[in-house]
Amino acid sequence: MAVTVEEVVELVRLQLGRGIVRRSDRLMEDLGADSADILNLIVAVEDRFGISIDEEDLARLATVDELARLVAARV
Amino acid sequence: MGSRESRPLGDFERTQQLTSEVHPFNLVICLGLAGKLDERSLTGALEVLQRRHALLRSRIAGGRHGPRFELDDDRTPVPWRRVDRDGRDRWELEVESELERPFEPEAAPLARACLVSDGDGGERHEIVLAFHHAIVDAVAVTTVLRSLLDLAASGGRSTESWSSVLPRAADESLPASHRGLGARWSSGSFLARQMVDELGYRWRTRGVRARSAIGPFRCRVLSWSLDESETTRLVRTTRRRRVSVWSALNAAMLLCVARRRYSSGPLPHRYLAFPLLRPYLDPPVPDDVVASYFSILRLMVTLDHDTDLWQLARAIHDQSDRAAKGGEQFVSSRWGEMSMKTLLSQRVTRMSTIALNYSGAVELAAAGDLVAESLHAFVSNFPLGPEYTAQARVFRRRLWFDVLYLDSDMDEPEARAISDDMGELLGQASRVTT
Repeated sequence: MAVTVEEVVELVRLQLGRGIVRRSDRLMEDLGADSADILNLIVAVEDRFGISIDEEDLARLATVDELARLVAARV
Repeated sequence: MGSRESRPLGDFERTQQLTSEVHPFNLVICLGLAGKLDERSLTGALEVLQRRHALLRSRIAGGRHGPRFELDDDRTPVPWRRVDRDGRDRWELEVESELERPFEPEAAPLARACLVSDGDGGERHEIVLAFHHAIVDAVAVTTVLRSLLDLAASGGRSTESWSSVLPRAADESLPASHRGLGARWSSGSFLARQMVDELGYRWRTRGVRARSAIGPFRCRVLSWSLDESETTRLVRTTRRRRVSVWSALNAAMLLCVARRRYSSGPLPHRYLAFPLLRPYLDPPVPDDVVASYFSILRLMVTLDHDTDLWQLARAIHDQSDRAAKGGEQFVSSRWGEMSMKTLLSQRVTRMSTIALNYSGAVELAAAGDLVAESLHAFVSNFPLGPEYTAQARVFRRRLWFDVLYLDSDMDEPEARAISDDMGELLGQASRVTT
């Protein structure tokens, strides 16, 4: 299954309740996500794309683009 | 980031300094390394870090308008000691000693280092680094460790110029909603809730809550870990339960401390959260800035011995999330000094039953021949502090728990029994299919 960046961006937008989300946005600094928001987002990503994201992956995720690349590499 | 060689301590930095006047308030790290180690490269790397990060060569000077960070013109190096390993637990002794050794605030730097080694030619080493907590937080410490290993691998030499820029204090760049009138309203509301919470807590725990530790005491440490498969299972279970790992660990720790130390009826217990401020400041503070940007939230849940772990984790998760979304970390940071003064003047309640900081996964790359094999972290405690504290992280795919307790509160068998209970509870809880 190929995953487009747009799909991930849209999921982030819906999960964080933001009007506009850019690939370069940082989840915490630019989109204001706190740790509970990040958890909900990761769970939604895991459910939607059928992948597993561990704590090491999470520590490396800062931007929407990094999340999209991680998803693309895992599906 | 400004260009000042001196600045007043921020609100929360003053809280940390006040705490350190009662008892050392140090963040102490122990990094275990395997491989050939060149001591001169390490001391050289520390000097480069002092060039790069102004707070690593600063002092806290008093003054008519309150304490200030000042750069040390003499560029005094981080004191470095070397001790030979004379037993397996040598690093733990050094850590316990560093947790209790005060920093003279007016004498820079507010950091010390000790190498525990097998001697020349040995291939197992531990570096114990101690910092006054007002100059580093958990994020900054990871930056320091990564840079230290990188720099040591390249010989610890650099011609970098000496930075004279002190990072700004958190309260200089609070989000707009926490300045001006908004700040006054949220402060008033926060303080009123804190007062109601405090009175309720004192009434409901009268006669049964732990008193402040009296008489001499020592900080004691013990460490334990879950193996890789248990760690993975726990993380996945917390995801399925829609709670953070931090919430699950807090719930397990509270339950295990309560079962060992309190009667079985429903009783309110306090726990502490340590929210990061860096990403939410305006502008945000990058992870590579070495300074201290966190706050403390004091939260409360009621539980008894039969409380379900996941229900408690859910309550903790929701409660801390509400507090964070309400911006209580910024208000708490502002009022921390006053809260600490009240606690110190009354001496009737402990800050909380437990305190846990979870750093997530920490990764340290190999540096040349040196491989980081273990990583431990502790923060000093004192007789009005929590009864049982821990720093947790995932390192090399295992969940590590570094526990600190006061020997005036409990002996080693009791502290170890609580840890064993936690390991068992977390193991059982993550084996149950949801």
